[in-house]
Amino acid sequence: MSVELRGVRKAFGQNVILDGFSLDVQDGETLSLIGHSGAGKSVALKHIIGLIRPDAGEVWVDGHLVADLHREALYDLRRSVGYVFQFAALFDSMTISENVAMGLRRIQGMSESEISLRVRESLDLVDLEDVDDRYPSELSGGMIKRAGLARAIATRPKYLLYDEPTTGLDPVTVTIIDRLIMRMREELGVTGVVVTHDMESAYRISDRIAMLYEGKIRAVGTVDEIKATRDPLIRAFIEGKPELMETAS
Amino acid sequence: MGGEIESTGQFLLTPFRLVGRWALATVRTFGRAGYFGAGAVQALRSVDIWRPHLLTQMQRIGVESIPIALFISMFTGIVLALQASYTLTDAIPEYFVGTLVGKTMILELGPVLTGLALAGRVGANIAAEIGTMRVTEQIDALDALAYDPVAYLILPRVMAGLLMFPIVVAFAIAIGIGSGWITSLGLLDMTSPQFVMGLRMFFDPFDLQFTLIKSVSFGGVITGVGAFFGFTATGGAEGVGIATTKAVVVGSMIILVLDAFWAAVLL
Repeated sequence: MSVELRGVRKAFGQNVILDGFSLDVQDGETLSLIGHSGAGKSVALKHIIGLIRPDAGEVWVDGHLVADLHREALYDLRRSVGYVFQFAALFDSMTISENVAMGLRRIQGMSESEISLRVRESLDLVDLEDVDDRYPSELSGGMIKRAGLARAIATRPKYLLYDEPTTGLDPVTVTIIDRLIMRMREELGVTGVVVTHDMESAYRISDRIAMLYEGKIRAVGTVDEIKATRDPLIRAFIEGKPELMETAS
Repeated sequence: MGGEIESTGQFLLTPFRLVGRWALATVRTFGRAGYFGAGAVQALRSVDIWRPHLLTQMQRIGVESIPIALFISMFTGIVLALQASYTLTDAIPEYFVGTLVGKTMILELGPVLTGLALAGRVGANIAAEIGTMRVTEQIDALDALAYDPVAYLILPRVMAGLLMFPIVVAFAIAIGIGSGWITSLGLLDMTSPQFVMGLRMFFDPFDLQFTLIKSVSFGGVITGVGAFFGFTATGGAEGVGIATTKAVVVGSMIILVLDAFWAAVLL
């Protein structure tokens, strides 16, 4: 098991976000974490690389208990994880190629020519051309998302965490991003966790889907299992019927 | 009747609640600042992260602040010379204008006015820049890419403040004294030897040590406070605005408190 969260609890002030959240992600699979906005999906994702620490419970990645890792060990772990932020979080004072090169500069022994080559490869993988010297503010939303993905995959990580990679994009760009996520798994063998509330996208890219509800995992299963579920709350969510959701909860 | 008593009781408790909340918020801020400072000390080890950005920040925080510091000190020097001449009546020799301009610029107005001006220019800039990075997840992105954000963002700025602020203050003092000198020659019918005699009369080399200590501490406060409020900003544009305001207000207040502290301790 490569990523495991056990009984994680997290509250901000009086607001309890995760309450007994448990999830495991197997090596090489892509798992989508679904749930309504504000359910705590991104908070759960940030626990995996220690950007947020749990109030209680444990987070294990690659056999390491994240909370126990000292500074350097935590940074070593982060070098094996790529994180695609919801709004890309590109450094706006840097060009796209400088953004993509950032993670590579933390890898010992990479020469400038190797870094340039890897930046080019990563931008090619996400089908971005002629943007190397442009700033994030000069790109469209879809291009920014892809640049964020290029930065995350540049270090060839073992794990990729995607925070709403397709939110706010047009259907064509959504399909392009979905294909990229599938390519990451198929060509680079990456284990992926995708936070999304786009069900079509989740069905396309996932090996398994987990639903987060009221701080806990309500259900987890393969795409077919989730599609066939009789849980009225999950049915209401995946069919987009808020009135059923209120009744079911 | 019972309801009225209860609401009166609630009303009377309100000031205590407000004081309690303010006290808790203050303690929380001190706690965060302590944690932040400890993180900065720990980040000193990551030399490979902060060193490449030090020169850039010295340019931005130090060199680019010189024009505003010179502008303020030039007019301060002029006013000091004129007010000194106005204050010193016939009973006191005119060359004391040089003494007053020199002593005041070196001991007080050079560092303090520069400090207050840079609390606005530098402190606000740092808080807004780092605050924006915080609310747009760029700081989380640094962390995720295995960069210690304190080493990458905070240390180069604070170090640049510590190193460059005394230099900016030195320029400000020189221009302030220079403009006071020119004013004395042009408007007060003094001669250069008179002004220089006054300037040298009560000069003590310790004055320079005193202003150096003040300047270094002001540089650390301005950059450190701006970085702290930016780093701990929450929310969106409003949060960045609040962080920027706090950086300027708190930075200016600490400068004035430190100014009194150093005077009490060192003079």
